[in-house]
Amino acid sequence: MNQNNWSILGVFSLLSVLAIGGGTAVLPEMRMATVDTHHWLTNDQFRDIYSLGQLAPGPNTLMVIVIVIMWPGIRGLCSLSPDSSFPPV
Amino acid sequence: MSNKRVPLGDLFLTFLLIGATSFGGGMTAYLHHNLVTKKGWMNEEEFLSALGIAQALPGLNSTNMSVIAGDRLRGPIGSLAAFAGMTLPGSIMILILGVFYISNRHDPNITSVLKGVAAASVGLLLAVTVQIGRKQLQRALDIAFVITTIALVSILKISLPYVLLILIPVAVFLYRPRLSAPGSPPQDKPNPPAQ
Repeated sequence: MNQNNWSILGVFSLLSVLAIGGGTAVLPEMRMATVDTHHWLTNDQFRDIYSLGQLAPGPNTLMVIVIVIMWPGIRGLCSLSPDSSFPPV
Repeated sequence: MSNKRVPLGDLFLTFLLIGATSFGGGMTAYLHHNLVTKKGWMNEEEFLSALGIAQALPGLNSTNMSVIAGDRLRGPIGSLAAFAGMTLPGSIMILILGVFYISNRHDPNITSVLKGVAAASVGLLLAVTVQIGRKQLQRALDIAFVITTIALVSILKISLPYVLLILIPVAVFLYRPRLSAPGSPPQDKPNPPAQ
């Protein structure tokens, strides 16, 4: 695990602990962390992925799966992280 | 709690069904229908107490609920079975959707469909908020908390942990149980979130 995998783990663990009363309670915070703070996604992509979560059955917050599998591609685009080697998520 | 042991396979399949058929969140109704009405594994009171715990704990209500109900019905292994059943269909489905989306994310047709879905789900969220809010938000103080939270999160863009650190002590202080103040309803303490 490199630094970015840790930060993904950190972001979503924090969201999980904060999600008292349900996953929707942390939706604005999730947008802020993934879009504004870490630039893993654009705002439009976050909206699209939220919609995917609505289309699939089960808890909507399963949308985080898409955020995580999408992230290596996004990361390549933004080249935000200094290290280039990362294991497939 | 009922003495009959619920078969593990039955438990898993029931939660698999709940996980596969509950669209758009709000799984409480699905859970109630399956666990209380259809299977009779829990009575009304047991269901509500489990729901209360699920909402008070951090994490998703629905998955918390599956862990608690699974444990009550069949112990720790039951928890695992219920949790797996609850999340498996959605995870597989969203994995497929996600891979499809990632390879087609620049297709304007796909993004406009998702834009429509997003608009509809915002409407759905608003409806649920109004529904719960009508019961919970009855005093000016309640509304003041809603407005302060919205302002801190959406306008001032303060991170949620800090917002909670600021607001929880204030809320606990202002909503502390008081000896019957004249003119106020008897339940003068924070109600558990009703759903």
